[in-house]
Amino acid sequence: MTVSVYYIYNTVMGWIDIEPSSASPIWKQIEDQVRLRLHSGQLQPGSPVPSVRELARQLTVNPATVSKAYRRLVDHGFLEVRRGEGTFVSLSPPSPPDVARERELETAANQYAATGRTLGATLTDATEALSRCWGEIDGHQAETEPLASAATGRQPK
Amino acid sequence: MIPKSSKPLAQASVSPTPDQPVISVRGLRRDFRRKRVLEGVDLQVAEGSVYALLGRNGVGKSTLSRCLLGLLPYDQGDVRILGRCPWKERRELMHDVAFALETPNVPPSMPVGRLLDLNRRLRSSFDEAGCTERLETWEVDRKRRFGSLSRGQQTRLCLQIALSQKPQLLILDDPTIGLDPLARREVYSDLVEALASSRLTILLTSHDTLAIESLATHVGLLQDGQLTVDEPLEALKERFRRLRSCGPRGEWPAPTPPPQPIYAETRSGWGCEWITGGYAANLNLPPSLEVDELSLEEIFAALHAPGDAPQIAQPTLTAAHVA
Repeated sequence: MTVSVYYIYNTVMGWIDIEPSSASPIWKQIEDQVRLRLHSGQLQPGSPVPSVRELARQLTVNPATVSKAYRRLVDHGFLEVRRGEGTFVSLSPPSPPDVARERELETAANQYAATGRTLGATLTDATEALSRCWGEIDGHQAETEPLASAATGRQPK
Repeated sequence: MIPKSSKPLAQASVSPTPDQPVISVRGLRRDFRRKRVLEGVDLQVAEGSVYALLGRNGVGKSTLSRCLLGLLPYDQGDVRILGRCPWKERRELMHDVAFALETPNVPPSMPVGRLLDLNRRLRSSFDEAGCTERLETWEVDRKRRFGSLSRGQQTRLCLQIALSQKPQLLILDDPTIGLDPLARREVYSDLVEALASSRLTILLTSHDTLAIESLATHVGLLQDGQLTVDEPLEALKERFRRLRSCGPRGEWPAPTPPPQPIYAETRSGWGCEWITGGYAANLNLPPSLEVDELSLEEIFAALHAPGDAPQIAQPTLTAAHVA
């Protein structure tokens, strides 16, 4: 089961989906998603994010879990805490490190390839399925397109 | 002037010294007639954790909770709550330990206003505002009898009363039993709110694995009178995986060396499936082997797989499977 929360603040935070039954810890799911929203441009630098309490309440998760995700995001320079004001997306968040990105991409690709082979799919089938999913994410992004380019300054390949 | 009758019973607040677990249980044994329910339970719960106690019905979860609360004597062992013995020092602990049991222990005919009055007189730190607010939201008059509230309202009111004394430890015995999904959610929201606003340690028993996955930091599994699982939820979920291998009989690629313990092995015409409790990300498993995550519910089921003790771990994956 997935728990989704949609935020409308001054700007759109986007969806946070967590899957409590996944083996991936919830703090990691939150962390990964904030990073994804940031890299995909759905989260604008400088925009406010919900407080720990608020996000915990919305997702019905332990506040300590949200707090851990936020702490890590702050430590890595993705979020910043302004005393008395709340938590915000950093004005200059780091871009994903190339090495880590490559490794992560390869791991994910490996899994996908294995699943595809297990299912007896051809490379064409698999590539088509991938492009479809890729497009769906782009469709999501299209709604916030003006923010996207402004936020990352990166051109999609 | 404070009337004498309103003098609270419990005044001394006990505070845990750093590093001292909030709950510390060693070798707890409790028999009922000839039936041994708890056979040497060891349990440590650190401050700030949310410890979920799992186990099948009748396995002794409630017995354990009641022993921790000093509501039930035990036959052997050592139980310390905030450094004190709950059976002998229940009065001292009353201030810092709150609880809500599966069936609210409130007479159904008692008006809710009287219930709040009673709690105010019993507990020095009782903060009635939260409860009053709750009643106003529900538009429940203080004269209404407790028994006339809905099941969800009863549970939430009891929880609110428990939280209103600002406890350090909250023990909940199956708080959401018999509640509809929405009422359940509301109870969990109340808990999230409580966790966000105070340094609270919670021990709860429940069968609601999805909620446990969202809220708990630690999980314990009570089986045959002992804790067979007692670890951080993250660690538990990290080490359990379903391994699947497809292929004609005898030609399944099997993990080498097999990650132990194996809790279940299922063979079919399609191939073979194992549930392992010894998975780690750095294992070198054959890429053709499908590795699936397990939800807490699936892990719970695997740990109760028929005919096994927790240490079944039959190494059934041999070279023959690889050959």
